[in-house]
Amino acid sequence: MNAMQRIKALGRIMFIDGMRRHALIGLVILSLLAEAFGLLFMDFFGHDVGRASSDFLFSIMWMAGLLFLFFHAVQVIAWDEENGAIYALLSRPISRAEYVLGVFAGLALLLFCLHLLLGTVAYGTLLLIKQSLRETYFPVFSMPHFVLTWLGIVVMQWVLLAAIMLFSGMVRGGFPVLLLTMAYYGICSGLPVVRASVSQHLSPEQSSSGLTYFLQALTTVFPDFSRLDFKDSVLSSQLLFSNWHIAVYFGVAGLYIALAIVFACQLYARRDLQ
Amino acid sequence: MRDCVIIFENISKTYPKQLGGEAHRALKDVSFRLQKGETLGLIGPNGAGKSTSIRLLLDFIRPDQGSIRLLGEQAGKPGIRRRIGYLPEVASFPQNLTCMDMMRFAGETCGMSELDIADSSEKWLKRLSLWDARKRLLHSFSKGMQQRASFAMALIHNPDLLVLDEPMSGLDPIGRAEIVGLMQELKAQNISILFCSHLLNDVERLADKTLVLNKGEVLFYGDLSEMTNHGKETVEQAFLRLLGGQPS
Repeated sequence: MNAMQRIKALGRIMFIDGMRRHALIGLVILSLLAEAFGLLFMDFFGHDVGRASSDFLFSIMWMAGLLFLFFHAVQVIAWDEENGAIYALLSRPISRAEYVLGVFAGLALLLFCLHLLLGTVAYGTLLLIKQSLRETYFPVFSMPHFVLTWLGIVVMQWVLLAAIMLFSGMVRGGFPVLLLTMAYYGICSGLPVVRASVSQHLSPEQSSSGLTYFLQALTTVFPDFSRLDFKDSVLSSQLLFSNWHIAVYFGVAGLYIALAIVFACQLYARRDLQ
Repeated sequence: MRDCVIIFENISKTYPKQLGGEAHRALKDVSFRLQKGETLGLIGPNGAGKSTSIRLLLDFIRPDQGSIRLLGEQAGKPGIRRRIGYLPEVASFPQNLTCMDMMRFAGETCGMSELDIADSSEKWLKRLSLWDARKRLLHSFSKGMQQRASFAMALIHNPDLLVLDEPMSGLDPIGRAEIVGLMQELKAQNISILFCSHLLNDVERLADKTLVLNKGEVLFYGDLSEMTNHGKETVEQAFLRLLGGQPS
């Protein structure tokens, strides 16, 4: 019996448990309805219908993923600890690290399935919109770029999920984990704006100042999610980034997830489950 | 020494100070052993350290001092739990799973094949009168049914050692009689059992040895007959006598 099988067994029950939660079923239904609303939404725009619809649909996917992370994922480990299910799970031959990996695997799969469903419906909706309009209003729709953008959203939210696992290993209770995650997300989203603002206000001689280096260093802890945002390419026949850049961005995100999970496992292994 | 399934040696545990609270000493220099095939009843008033002892055995918490060996290995190794069945004080599971989902999980984590899981699940769920409810979600179970489901999970892999935290908790008299009968059956199969209970009658019926704890200290550890002065007292009388000098 290897560790992978134990992680798989735990991931499977986390996945099944999530699939049967009414709140998540409600989230899926609401998101699908919102995506269907995209068909009506396009009538509000005289120009750039393709871009507006595409942005609208990707925003729904992003929001649905965030709701999943902030209202379900942040609570899973806390729920297990608060209602005592953790004792039933860890009394099996599962190490703490395998528990963290199993929970992450189950939640990552749930998030993937949510995005797969929403992505498929969004793709169908965009195709339908394109077919119902003259080419002038919606000239290009690239399927590979749509998939890349979709994958970018999934990976960005896996990064957030890995951070949630890390915070769940650091503090007890769903609410503190939620607060930390929201603060983390706020910093990750705000840091690129701060960096841009600082670089605009610094003269060329000051551009290598301590503040610039400090902000750069902070990016290693609070990654810039916009690097994985490719939605501007969906309506373009050419990719706006080189393949090399894309590979590096996804590689860094993968490394970031791996490091966060390793730290989460180490922190959780030290915790007393009182 | 060679046949010891549990060696719990000089264990002390203090829960650290929490925000707005104080540090709490849960166990002080507690030692006991459980031989193969024996049944040890852990008794004591609320807050005596019974659940702490069990959580230490399962490595949910770590001792400040002392050492714990289970089935010849250090307690912290997850691998030994393949030979241990554990029943928590409050049976609780991820809420949206069926009884069979949890049985499958319990079997898979112990390295059992699909066929063995199916056979063993059927055997224990039938034995614990849960077979008809196997596809129902666990949150729809009564407390007694959850307790029995938890028991079935603890037994699915035929463990050598059973650690039971309040096994009769939440059971009606019929359910209690069923669990006592099952424990007697397991005892007859030479399975080592450590259990804690508030119900002294059950301890009297099941235990070979008792460990009486109060405020984290051992008041008595030895044969049940020794505790009851060779049957001159009931377990309840002996328990109250032992606590007499140190009211809880």
